[in-house]
Amino acid sequence: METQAVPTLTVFRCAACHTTSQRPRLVCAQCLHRHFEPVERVATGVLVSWTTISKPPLRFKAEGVYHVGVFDLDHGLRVTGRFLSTPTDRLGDRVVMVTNPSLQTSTPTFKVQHHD
Amino acid sequence: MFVFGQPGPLQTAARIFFSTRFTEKQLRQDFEKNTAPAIDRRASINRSVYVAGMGSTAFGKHAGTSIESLAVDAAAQAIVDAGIDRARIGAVYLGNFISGPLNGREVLAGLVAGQLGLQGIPCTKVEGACASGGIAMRHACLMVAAGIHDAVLVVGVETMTHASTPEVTSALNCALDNDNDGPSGLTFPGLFGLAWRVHAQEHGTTRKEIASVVTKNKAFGLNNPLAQMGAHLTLEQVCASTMIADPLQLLDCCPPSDGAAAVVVCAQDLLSDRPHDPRIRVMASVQTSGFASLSQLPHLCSFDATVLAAQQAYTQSGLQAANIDLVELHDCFSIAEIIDSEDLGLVPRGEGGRWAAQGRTGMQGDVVINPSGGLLAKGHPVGATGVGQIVEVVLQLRGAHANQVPGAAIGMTHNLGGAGVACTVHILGRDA
Repeated sequence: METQAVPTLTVFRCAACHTTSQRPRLVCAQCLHRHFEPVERVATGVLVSWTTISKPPLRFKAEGVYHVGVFDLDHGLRVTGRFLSTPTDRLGDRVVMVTNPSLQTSTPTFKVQHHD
Repeated sequence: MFVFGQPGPLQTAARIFFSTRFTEKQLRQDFEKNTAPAIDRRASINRSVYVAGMGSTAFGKHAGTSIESLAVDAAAQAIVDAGIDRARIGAVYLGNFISGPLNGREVLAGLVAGQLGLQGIPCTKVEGACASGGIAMRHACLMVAAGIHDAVLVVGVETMTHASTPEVTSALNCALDNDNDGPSGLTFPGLFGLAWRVHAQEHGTTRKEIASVVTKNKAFGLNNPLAQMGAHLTLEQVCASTMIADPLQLLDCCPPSDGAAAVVVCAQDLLSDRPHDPRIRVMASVQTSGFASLSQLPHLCSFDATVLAAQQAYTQSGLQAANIDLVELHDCFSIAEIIDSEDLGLVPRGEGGRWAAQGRTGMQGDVVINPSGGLLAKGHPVGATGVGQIVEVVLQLRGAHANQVPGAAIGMTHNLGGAGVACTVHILGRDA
Protein backbone atom coordinates (compact mmCIF):
# COMPACT_ATOMS: atom_id res chain seq x y z
CA MET A 1 0.00 0.00 0.00
CA GLU A 2 1.34 3.43 -0.94
CA THR A 3 1.73 5.95 1.85
CA GLN A 4 1.22 9.60 1.13
CA ALA A 5 4.43 11.62 1.45
CA VAL A 6 4.44 14.15 4.25
CA PRO A 7 5.02 17.59 2.68
CA THR A 8 8.05 19.52 3.78
CA LEU A 9 8.91 23.20 3.71
CA THR A 10 12.39 24.54 3.12
CA VAL A 11 13.34 26.84 5.98
CA PHE A 12 16.70 28.33 6.89
CA ARG A 13 18.84 27.46 9.87
CA CYS A 14 21.66 29.51 11.31
CA ALA A 15 24.81 27.45 10.83
CA ALA A 16 26.09 28.51 14.25
CA CYS A 17 23.17 28.45 16.72
CA HIS A 18 20.56 26.56 14.60
CA THR A 19 17.85 29.21 15.03
CA THR A 20 15.44 28.77 12.11
CA SER A 21 13.60 31.35 10.06
CA GLN A 22 11.15 31.21 7.17
CA ARG A 23 13.62 32.87 4.82
CA PRO A 24 17.37 33.43 5.01
CA ARG A 25 18.14 36.44 7.16
CA LEU A 26 20.90 38.99 6.61
CA VAL A 27 22.29 37.99 9.99
CA CYS A 28 21.13 35.73 12.81
CA ALA A 29 19.30 37.82 15.42
CA GLN A 30 20.46 35.44 18.16
CA CYS A 31 24.19 35.17 17.48
CA LEU A 32 24.91 37.56 14.56
CA HIS A 33 26.22 34.71 12.42
CA ARG A 34 25.85 35.35 8.68
CA HIS A 35 25.61 31.88 7.20
CA PHE A 36 22.27 30.08 6.88
CA GLU A 37 21.66 26.64 5.50
CA PRO A 38 18.41 25.34 3.98
CA VAL A 39 16.77 22.52 5.90
CA GLU A 40 13.55 20.59 5.26
CA ARG A 41 10.88 20.64 7.94
CA VAL A 42 7.58 18.82 8.06
CA ALA A 43 5.00 21.35 6.87
CA THR A 44 2.14 20.64 9.23
CA GLY A 45 0.93 22.80 12.05
CA VAL A 46 -1.91 24.93 13.40
CA LEU A 47 -3.94 27.77 11.90
CA VAL A 48 -3.24 30.93 13.95
CA SER A 49 -5.41 33.28 11.90
CA TRP A 50 -6.40 34.16 8.36
CA THR A 51 -7.90 36.98 6.36
CA THR A 52 -9.36 37.42 2.91
CA ILE A 53 -7.72 40.17 0.87
CA SER A 54 -10.34 41.84 -1.32
CA LYS A 55 -8.28 44.96 -2.14
CA PRO A 56 -4.82 43.73 -3.11
CA PRO A 57 -1.78 45.89 -3.84
CA LEU A 58 -0.73 46.43 -7.47
CA ARG A 59 1.59 43.42 -7.46
CA PHE A 60 -1.26 41.00 -6.73
CA LYS A 61 -4.13 42.86 -8.35
CA ALA A 62 -4.48 40.30 -11.17
CA GLU A 63 -5.22 37.56 -8.63
CA GLY A 64 -8.39 39.23 -7.38
CA VAL A 65 -9.53 37.93 -4.00
CA TYR A 66 -7.19 35.61 -2.06
CA HIS A 67 -6.64 34.38 1.50
CA VAL A 68 -3.56 34.98 3.66
CA GLY A 69 -2.86 33.02 6.84
CA VAL A 70 -0.44 32.75 9.73
CA PHE A 71 0.55 29.22 10.75
CA ASP A 72 2.46 27.79 13.70
CA LEU A 73 4.35 24.80 12.36
CA ASP A 74 4.92 21.76 14.52
CA HIS A 75 8.67 22.31 14.63
CA GLY A 76 8.17 25.73 16.22
CA LEU A 77 8.40 28.21 13.36
CA ARG A 78 5.60 30.71 12.67
CA VAL A 79 5.13 31.38 8.95
CA THR A 80 2.99 33.63 6.77
CA GLY A 81 1.54 32.25 3.55
CA ARG A 82 -1.51 31.69 1.41
CA PHE A 83 -4.50 29.82 2.81
CA LEU A 84 -7.07 27.75 0.95
CA SER A 85 -10.02 28.79 3.07
CA THR A 86 -13.40 27.10 3.40
CA PRO A 87 -16.45 28.22 5.40
CA THR A 88 -15.89 25.66 8.16
CA ASP A 89 -12.33 26.68 9.05
CA ARG A 90 -11.62 27.61 12.67
CA LEU A 91 -8.58 29.05 14.41
CA GLY A 92 -6.55 26.23 15.91
CA ASP A 93 -7.41 23.78 13.11
CA ARG A 94 -4.62 21.45 11.95
CA VAL A 95 -3.12 22.60 8.64
CA VAL A 96 -0.86 21.06 6.03
CA MET A 97 1.12 22.63 3.23
CA VAL A 98 -0.12 21.93 -0.29
CA THR A 99 1.23 22.66 -3.73
CA ASN A 100 -0.30 25.64 -5.44
CA PRO A 101 1.02 25.74 -9.03
CA SER A 102 -1.12 28.69 -10.02
CA LEU A 103 0.63 30.93 -7.50
CA GLN A 104 3.11 33.40 -9.00
CA THR A 105 4.71 34.33 -5.69
CA SER A 106 7.23 32.49 -3.52
CA THR A 107 5.06 31.85 -0.49
CA PRO A 108 3.83 28.54 0.94
CA THR A 109 0.16 27.58 0.75
CA PHE A 110 -1.70 25.73 3.52
CA LYS A 111 -5.13 24.22 3.98
CA VAL A 112 -6.99 22.68 6.89
CA GLN A 113 -6.26 18.95 7.07
CA HIS A 114 -9.78 17.69 7.74
CA HIS A 115 -10.81 18.73 4.24
CA ASP A 116 -8.94 15.80 2.70
CA MET B 1 23.18 80.27 19.10
CA PHE B 2 24.73 76.84 19.32
CA VAL B 3 28.17 76.57 17.72
CA PHE B 4 29.63 73.11 17.37
CA GLY B 5 32.73 72.83 19.56
CA GLN B 6 31.84 75.92 21.55
CA PRO B 7 29.11 74.80 23.95
CA GLY B 8 27.08 77.36 25.83
CA PRO B 9 25.91 76.86 29.42
CA LEU B 10 22.89 74.77 28.42
CA GLN B 11 24.99 72.48 26.28
CA THR B 12 27.49 72.08 29.09
CA ALA B 13 24.70 71.22 31.53
CA ALA B 14 23.35 68.64 29.13
CA ARG B 15 26.79 67.08 28.70
CA ILE B 16 27.26 66.83 32.47
CA PHE B 17 23.77 65.35 32.87
CA PHE B 18 24.31 62.60 30.35
CA SER B 19 27.86 61.85 31.44
CA THR B 20 27.00 61.52 35.12
CA ARG B 21 23.55 59.92 35.10
CA PHE B 22 24.33 56.86 33.01
CA THR B 23 27.50 55.32 34.36
CA GLU B 24 29.22 52.34 32.85
CA LYS B 25 28.41 50.38 36.00
CA GLN B 26 24.70 51.07 35.63
CA LEU B 27 24.74 50.08 31.99
CA ARG B 28 26.56 46.86 32.76
CA GLN B 29 24.16 46.00 35.58
CA ASP B 30 21.24 46.46 33.23
CA PHE B 31 22.88 44.39 30.54
CA GLU B 32 23.49 41.59 33.01
CA LYS B 33 19.85 41.73 34.07
CA ASN B 34 18.95 41.32 30.42
CA THR B 35 16.55 44.26 30.64
CA ALA B 36 16.18 47.35 28.51
CA PRO B 37 19.28 49.56 28.60
CA ALA B 38 19.53 51.99 31.49
CA ILE B 39 19.02 55.00 29.31
CA ASP B 40 15.62 53.72 28.20
CA ARG B 41 14.25 53.31 31.70
CA ARG B 42 15.87 56.23 33.46
CA ALA B 43 16.02 58.89 30.81
CA SER B 44 13.64 61.68 31.56
CA ILE B 45 12.89 65.05 30.12
CA ASN B 46 15.87 66.88 31.67
CA ARG B 47 15.04 70.47 30.77
CA SER B 48 11.28 71.00 30.66
CA VAL B 49 9.88 71.09 27.13
CA TYR B 50 6.72 73.00 26.25
CA VAL B 51 4.47 73.08 23.22
CA ALA B 52 4.42 76.78 22.44
CA GLY B 53 2.40 76.81 19.25
CA MET B 54 0.47 74.62 16.87
CA GLY B 55 -1.07 74.71 13.41
CA SER B 56 -2.82 72.36 11.05
CA THR B 57 -4.55 72.14 7.75
CA ALA B 58 -7.80 70.26 7.66
CA PHE B 59 -7.18 66.59 6.89
CA GLY B 60 -8.96 65.45 3.74
CA LYS B 61 -8.67 65.95 0.01
CA HIS B 62 -6.51 68.85 -1.15
CA ALA B 63 -6.48 68.28 -4.88
CA GLY B 64 -4.06 70.56 -6.66
CA THR B 65 -2.26 71.66 -3.50
CA SER B 66 1.39 70.64 -3.31
CA ILE B 67 2.80 68.73 -0.37
CA GLU B 68 5.18 71.62 0.38
CA SER B 69 2.27 74.06 0.41
CA LEU B 70 0.34 72.05 3.00
CA ALA B 71 3.42 71.74 5.22
CA VAL B 72 4.24 75.43 4.99
CA ASP B 73 0.64 76.37 5.78
CA ALA B 74 0.63 74.33 9.02
CA ALA B 75 4.16 75.37 10.00
CA ALA B 76 3.51 79.08 9.52
CA GLN B 77 0.41 78.79 11.69
CA ALA B 78 2.45 77.09 14.41
CA ILE B 79 5.21 79.70 14.39
CA VAL B 80 2.73 82.57 14.59
CA ASP B 81 0.76 80.77 17.30
CA ALA B 82 3.93 80.26 19.34
CA GLY B 83 4.76 83.95 19.29
CA ILE B 84 8.46 83.06 19.13
CA ASP B 85 10.97 84.94 17.04
CA ARG B 86 11.85 82.69 14.09
CA ALA B 87 15.53 83.27 14.82
CA ARG B 88 15.12 81.24 18.02
CA ILE B 89 14.10 78.12 16.08
CA GLY B 90 17.20 75.97 16.00
CA ALA B 91 16.07 72.99 13.95
CA VAL B 92 13.24 71.48 11.91
CA TYR B 93 12.09 67.86 12.12
CA LEU B 94 9.59 66.78 9.48
CA GLY B 95 7.71 63.49 9.55
CA ASN B 96 6.78 61.99 6.21
CA PHE B 97 6.50 58.47 4.86
CA ILE B 98 5.75 58.22 1.13
CA SER B 99 6.42 61.57 -0.52
CA GLY B 100 9.01 59.77 -2.65
CA PRO B 101 6.85 57.07 -4.27
CA LEU B 102 3.62 59.12 -4.43
CA ASN B 103 4.93 62.64 -5.13
CA GLY B 104 8.51 62.23 -6.32
CA ARG B 105 9.57 64.72 -3.65
CA GLU B 106 12.24 64.30 -0.99
CA VAL B 107 14.32 66.57 1.29
CA LEU B 108 11.01 68.02 2.35
CA ALA B 109 12.33 69.39 5.64
CA GLY B 110 14.83 71.64 3.88
CA LEU B 111 12.31 72.68 1.23
CA VAL B 112 9.75 73.66 3.85
CA ALA B 113 12.30 75.48 6.02
CA GLY B 114 13.47 77.44 3.01
CA GLN B 115 9.92 78.60 2.30
CA LEU B 116 9.60 79.72 5.93
CA GLY B 117 12.82 81.71 5.86
CA LEU B 118 14.55 79.35 8.26
CA GLN B 119 18.00 79.24 6.69
CA GLY B 120 21.17 77.56 7.86
CA ILE B 121 19.66 75.35 10.56
CA PRO B 122 19.58 71.55 10.57
CA CYS B 123 16.46 70.31 8.77
CA THR B 124 15.74 66.60 8.97
CA LYS B 125 13.05 64.43 7.46
CA VAL B 126 12.35 61.41 9.63
CA GLU B 127 10.56 58.26 8.53
CA GLY B 128 8.99 55.56 10.61
CA ALA B 129 5.99 54.62 8.44
CA CYS B 130 2.77 55.74 10.14
CA ALA B 131 4.77 56.81 13.22
CA SER B 132 6.88 59.34 11.26
CA GLY B 133 5.17 62.37 12.81
CA GLY B 134 5.51 61.07 16.36
CA ILE B 135 9.18 60.36 15.79
CA ALA B 136 9.72 63.91 14.52
CA MET B 137 8.07 65.21 17.70
CA ARG B 138 10.23 63.05 19.91
CA HIS B 139 13.48 64.15 18.26
CA ALA B 140 12.47 67.78 18.66
CA CYS B 141 11.72 67.23 22.35
CA LEU B 142 15.08 65.56 22.89
CA MET B 143 16.91 68.46 21.29
CA VAL B 144 15.22 70.98 23.58
CA ALA B 145 15.49 68.77 26.66
CA ALA B 146 19.21 68.27 26.08
CA GLY B 147 19.80 71.96 25.56
CA ILE B 148 20.96 71.59 21.97
CA HIS B 149 18.27 73.96 20.76
CA ASP B 150 15.91 76.28 22.63
CA ALA B 151 13.07 75.94 20.12
CA VAL B 152 12.39 73.40 17.37
CA LEU B 153 9.74 73.27 14.64
CA VAL B 154 8.01 69.92 14.13
CA VAL B 155 6.05 69.28 10.93
CA GLY B 156 4.17 66.24 9.65
CA VAL B 157 2.81 66.07 6.12
CA GLU B 158 1.49 63.64 3.50
CA THR B 159 -0.54 63.74 0.29
CA MET B 160 -2.20 60.51 -0.84
CA THR B 161 -5.60 61.16 -2.37
CA HIS B 162 -4.27 61.88 -5.87
CA ALA B 163 -3.11 58.25 -6.16
CA SER B 164 -5.26 55.18 -6.88
CA THR B 165 -6.10 52.72 -4.09
CA PRO B 166 -3.70 50.03 -5.44
CA GLU B 167 -0.94 52.65 -5.72
CA VAL B 168 -1.51 53.82 -2.13
CA THR B 169 -1.71 50.21 -0.90
CA SER B 170 1.56 49.40 -2.65
CA ALA B 171 3.27 52.48 -1.22
CA LEU B 172 2.05 51.70 2.31
CA ASN B 173 3.21 48.12 1.87
CA CYS B 174 6.79 49.46 1.85
CA ALA B 175 6.40 49.32 5.65
CA LEU B 176 5.75 45.56 5.67
CA ASP B 177 8.50 42.97 5.98
CA ASN B 178 8.65 42.36 2.26
CA ASP B 179 11.04 39.42 2.57
CA ASN B 180 8.76 37.38 4.82
CA ASP B 181 5.22 38.75 4.79
CA GLY B 182 5.16 40.60 1.48
CA PRO B 183 5.26 37.54 -0.84
CA SER B 184 2.04 36.24 0.74
CA GLY B 185 0.13 39.25 -0.59
CA LEU B 186 -0.57 40.58 2.89
CA THR B 187 -1.72 44.19 3.24
CA PHE B 188 -2.12 46.38 6.34
CA PRO B 189 -5.90 45.90 6.41
CA GLY B 190 -5.10 42.19 6.15
CA LEU B 191 -2.74 42.38 9.12
CA PHE B 192 -5.53 43.84 11.25
CA GLY B 193 -8.00 41.33 9.83
CA LEU B 194 -5.70 38.61 11.20
CA ALA B 195 -5.56 40.39 14.58
CA TRP B 196 -9.36 40.77 14.66
CA ARG B 197 -9.94 37.02 14.35
CA VAL B 198 -7.55 36.30 17.20
CA HIS B 199 -9.13 38.96 19.44
CA ALA B 200 -12.59 37.60 18.71
CA GLN B 201 -11.51 34.04 19.43
CA GLU B 202 -9.62 34.80 22.64
CA HIS B 203 -11.85 37.48 24.16
CA GLY B 204 -15.24 36.94 22.56
CA THR B 205 -15.15 40.37 20.92
CA THR B 206 -18.12 40.74 18.58
CA ARG B 207 -18.62 42.44 15.23
CA LYS B 208 -20.99 44.99 16.72
CA GLU B 209 -18.62 45.83 19.58
CA ILE B 210 -15.91 46.61 17.05
CA ALA B 211 -18.38 48.61 14.94
CA SER B 212 -19.14 50.77 17.99
CA VAL B 213 -15.59 52.17 17.73
CA VAL B 214 -16.47 53.37 14.23
CA THR B 215 -19.77 54.98 15.20
CA LYS B 216 -18.12 56.78 18.14
CA ASN B 217 -15.18 58.15 16.14
CA LYS B 218 -17.23 59.11 13.09
CA ALA B 219 -19.62 61.02 15.36
CA PHE B 220 -16.69 62.85 16.97
CA GLY B 221 -15.44 63.70 13.49
CA LEU B 222 -18.66 65.54 12.65
CA ASN B 223 -17.80 68.39 15.03
CA ASN B 224 -14.07 68.59 14.32
CA PRO B 225 -13.30 71.19 11.64
CA LEU B 226 -9.97 69.47 10.97
CA ALA B 227 -11.61 66.08 10.28
CA GLN B 228 -12.08 64.50 6.88
CA MET B 229 -15.28 62.49 7.25
CA GLY B 230 -17.54 62.68 10.24
CA ALA B 231 -20.89 60.92 10.10
CA HIS B 232 -23.77 59.63 12.16
CA LEU B 233 -23.63 55.92 11.41
CA THR B 234 -25.56 52.96 12.72
CA LEU B 235 -23.89 49.71 13.65
CA GLU B 236 -25.80 48.11 10.81
CA GLN B 237 -24.34 50.55 8.28
CA VAL B 238 -20.82 49.74 9.44
CA CYS B 239 -21.50 46.01 9.22
CA ALA B 240 -22.97 46.36 5.71
CA SER B 241 -20.03 48.23 4.18
CA THR B 242 -17.77 46.75 1.49
CA MET B 243 -15.46 43.93 2.54
CA ILE B 244 -11.77 44.93 2.45
CA ALA B 245 -9.85 42.25 4.36
CA ASP B 246 -12.35 39.89 5.95
CA PRO B 247 -13.53 40.51 8.66
CA LEU B 248 -12.41 44.12 8.17
CA GLN B 249 -14.87 46.21 6.13
CA LEU B 250 -14.61 49.61 4.48
CA LEU B 251 -15.95 51.65 7.41
CA ASP B 252 -13.51 49.88 9.73
CA CYS B 253 -10.65 51.48 7.79
CA CYS B 254 -9.24 54.99 7.99
CA PRO B 255 -9.31 56.88 4.70
CA PRO B 256 -6.23 57.95 2.75
CA SER B 257 -5.81 61.67 3.31
CA ASP B 258 -3.88 64.80 2.49
CA GLY B 259 -2.87 67.11 5.29
CA ALA B 260 -0.22 68.69 7.44
CA ALA B 261 0.21 69.57 11.11
CA ALA B 262 2.93 71.41 12.98
CA VAL B 263 3.97 72.39 16.48
CA VAL B 264 6.76 74.48 17.98
CA VAL B 265 8.38 73.02 21.08
CA CYS B 266 10.62 75.13 23.26
CA ALA B 267 12.28 75.61 26.61
CA GLN B 268 10.36 77.29 29.39
CA ASP B 269 12.19 80.62 29.19
CA LEU B 270 10.94 81.16 25.65
CA LEU B 271 7.35 81.02 26.78
CA SER B 272 7.35 84.52 28.24
CA ASP B 273 5.90 86.11 25.12
CA ARG B 274 3.58 83.25 24.38
CA PRO B 275 0.03 84.49 23.99
CA HIS B 276 -1.72 81.39 25.28
CA ASP B 277 -2.44 80.13 28.74
CA PRO B 278 -2.21 77.54 30.09
CA ARG B 279 1.29 76.30 29.42
CA ILE B 280 1.42 72.84 27.86
CA ARG B 281 4.34 70.75 29.08
CA VAL B 282 5.69 67.57 27.53
CA MET B 283 5.63 65.14 30.46
CA ALA B 284 6.83 62.11 28.52
CA SER B 285 8.29 61.56 25.08
CA VAL B 286 9.04 57.94 24.22
CA GLN B 287 9.94 55.99 21.09
CA THR B 288 10.23 52.23 20.92
CA SER B 289 10.60 49.56 18.27
CA GLY B 290 8.93 46.21 17.76
CA PHE B 291 9.05 43.33 15.34
CA ALA B 292 8.74 44.00 11.63
CA SER B 293 7.58 40.53 10.66
CA LEU B 294 4.39 38.69 11.57
CA SER B 295 6.38 35.54 12.21
CA GLN B 296 8.21 37.37 15.01
CA LEU B 297 5.14 38.81 16.71
CA PRO B 298 4.61 36.82 19.89
CA HIS B 299 0.92 37.66 19.79
CA LEU B 300 -1.15 38.83 16.84
CA CYS B 301 -3.45 41.13 18.81
CA SER B 302 -0.92 43.05 20.88
CA PHE B 303 2.02 45.20 19.84
CA ASP B 304 5.06 44.97 22.10
CA ALA B 305 6.30 48.38 20.96
CA THR B 306 3.12 50.00 22.32
CA VAL B 307 3.22 48.11 25.61
CA LEU B 308 6.86 49.11 26.15
CA ALA B 309 6.30 52.73 25.12
CA ALA B 310 3.36 53.08 27.50
CA GLN B 311 5.34 51.63 30.40
CA GLN B 312 8.22 54.01 29.73
CA ALA B 313 5.91 57.01 29.30
CA TYR B 314 4.17 56.33 32.62
CA THR B 315 7.55 55.97 34.34
CA GLN B 316 8.94 59.10 32.71
CA SER B 317 5.91 61.21 33.65
CA GLY B 318 5.27 59.69 37.06
CA LEU B 319 1.68 59.10 35.98
CA GLN B 320 -0.58 56.09 35.67
CA ALA B 321 -3.14 55.18 33.05
CA ALA B 322 -5.88 56.33 35.41
CA ASN B 323 -4.47 59.88 35.30
CA ILE B 324 -5.00 60.22 31.53
CA ASP B 325 -8.04 62.35 30.70
CA LEU B 326 -7.98 61.71 26.97
CA VAL B 327 -5.91 59.87 24.42
CA GLU B 328 -5.44 60.28 20.70
CA LEU B 329 -4.37 56.79 19.67
CA HIS B 330 -3.55 55.10 16.39
CA ASP B 331 -6.92 53.75 15.21
CA CYS B 332 -5.88 53.06 11.63
CA PHE B 333 -8.57 50.36 11.80
CA SER B 334 -11.43 49.89 14.24
CA ILE B 335 -9.84 46.80 15.80
CA ALA B 336 -6.60 48.77 16.21
CA GLU B 337 -8.29 51.15 18.68
CA ILE B 338 -9.33 48.17 20.78
CA ILE B 339 -5.86 46.63 20.72
CA ASP B 340 -4.10 49.95 21.36
CA SER B 341 -6.35 50.85 24.28
CA GLU B 342 -5.45 47.55 25.91
CA ASP B 343 -1.73 47.81 25.09
CA LEU B 344 -1.63 51.32 26.59
CA GLY B 345 -3.12 49.98 29.82
CA LEU B 346 -6.19 52.21 29.51
CA VAL B 347 -8.59 49.27 29.25
CA PRO B 348 -8.19 45.79 30.79
CA ARG B 349 -6.82 43.19 28.36
CA GLY B 350 -9.60 41.70 26.28
CA GLU B 351 -12.19 44.29 27.33
CA GLY B 352 -11.58 46.87 24.60
CA GLY B 353 -14.58 45.85 22.54
CA ARG B 354 -16.98 45.79 25.45
CA TRP B 355 -15.73 49.14 26.80
CA ALA B 356 -16.31 50.71 23.39
CA ALA B 357 -19.81 49.23 23.11
CA GLN B 358 -20.71 50.37 26.64
CA GLY B 359 -19.59 53.95 25.97
CA ARG B 360 -16.72 53.74 28.45
CA THR B 361 -14.32 55.22 25.86
CA GLY B 362 -16.74 57.96 24.78
CA MET B 363 -17.12 61.52 26.04
CA GLN B 364 -18.85 60.42 29.24
CA GLY B 365 -16.67 57.36 29.71
CA ASP B 366 -13.81 56.27 31.95
CA VAL B 367 -11.23 57.53 29.45
CA VAL B 368 -12.05 59.52 26.33
CA ILE B 369 -10.47 57.91 23.29
CA ASN B 370 -9.99 59.83 20.05
CA PRO B 371 -12.29 62.81 20.63
CA SER B 372 -10.85 64.22 17.39
CA GLY B 373 -12.51 61.38 15.51
CA GLY B 374 -9.18 59.58 15.32
CA LEU B 375 -7.69 58.31 12.13
CA LEU B 376 -11.04 56.71 11.26
CA ALA B 377 -12.81 60.07 10.94
CA LYS B 378 -10.16 62.78 11.05
CA GLY B 379 -8.18 60.95 8.36
CA HIS B 380 -4.69 59.54 8.10
CA PRO B 381 -2.24 61.59 6.06
CA VAL B 382 0.40 59.16 7.24
CA GLY B 383 3.39 61.40 8.01
CA ALA B 384 1.15 64.09 9.50
CA THR B 385 -0.85 61.89 11.84
CA GLY B 386 1.51 61.85 14.84
CA VAL B 387 1.87 65.63 14.83
CA GLY B 388 -1.85 66.07 14.25
CA GLN B 389 -2.47 64.04 17.41
CA ILE B 390 -0.28 66.50 19.37
CA VAL B 391 -2.28 69.41 17.90
CA GLU B 392 -5.52 67.76 19.03
CA VAL B 393 -4.27 67.27 22.59
CA VAL B 394 -2.95 70.84 22.79
CA LEU B 395 -6.38 72.12 21.75
CA GLN B 396 -7.96 69.99 24.47
CA LEU B 397 -5.55 71.24 27.15
CA ARG B 398 -6.19 74.83 26.08
CA GLY B 399 -9.90 74.16 26.50
CA ALA B 400 -10.46 75.07 22.86
CA HIS B 401 -11.47 71.81 21.19
CA ALA B 402 -14.70 71.37 19.27
CA ASN B 403 -15.22 68.13 21.20
CA GLN B 404 -13.89 69.46 24.49
CA VAL B 405 -13.26 66.91 27.23
CA PRO B 406 -14.44 68.68 30.40
CA GLY B 407 -11.53 69.60 32.67
CA ALA B 408 -8.92 67.97 30.43
CA ALA B 409 -5.53 68.41 32.12
CA ILE B 410 -3.49 65.45 30.87
CA GLY B 411 -3.57 63.99 27.37
CA MET B 412 -1.71 61.17 25.65
CA THR B 413 -0.84 60.48 22.02
CA HIS B 414 0.05 57.10 20.52
CA ASN B 415 1.48 56.73 17.02
CA LEU B 416 2.25 53.26 15.59
CA GLY B 417 4.16 52.43 12.41
CA GLY B 418 4.36 49.34 10.22
CA ALA B 419 3.40 46.05 11.81
CA GLY B 420 4.25 47.62 15.16
CA VAL B 421 7.89 48.17 14.21
CA ALA B 422 7.92 51.81 15.38
CA CYS B 423 5.93 53.46 18.13
CA THR B 424 5.85 56.78 19.95
CA VAL B 425 3.90 57.82 23.02
CA HIS B 426 3.72 61.39 24.30
CA ILE B 427 2.03 62.67 27.43
CA LEU B 428 1.21 66.37 27.59
CA GLY B 429 0.04 68.15 30.70
CA ARG B 430 -1.37 71.55 31.52
CA ASP B 431 0.89 73.33 34.00
CA ALA B 432 -0.93 74.29 37.16
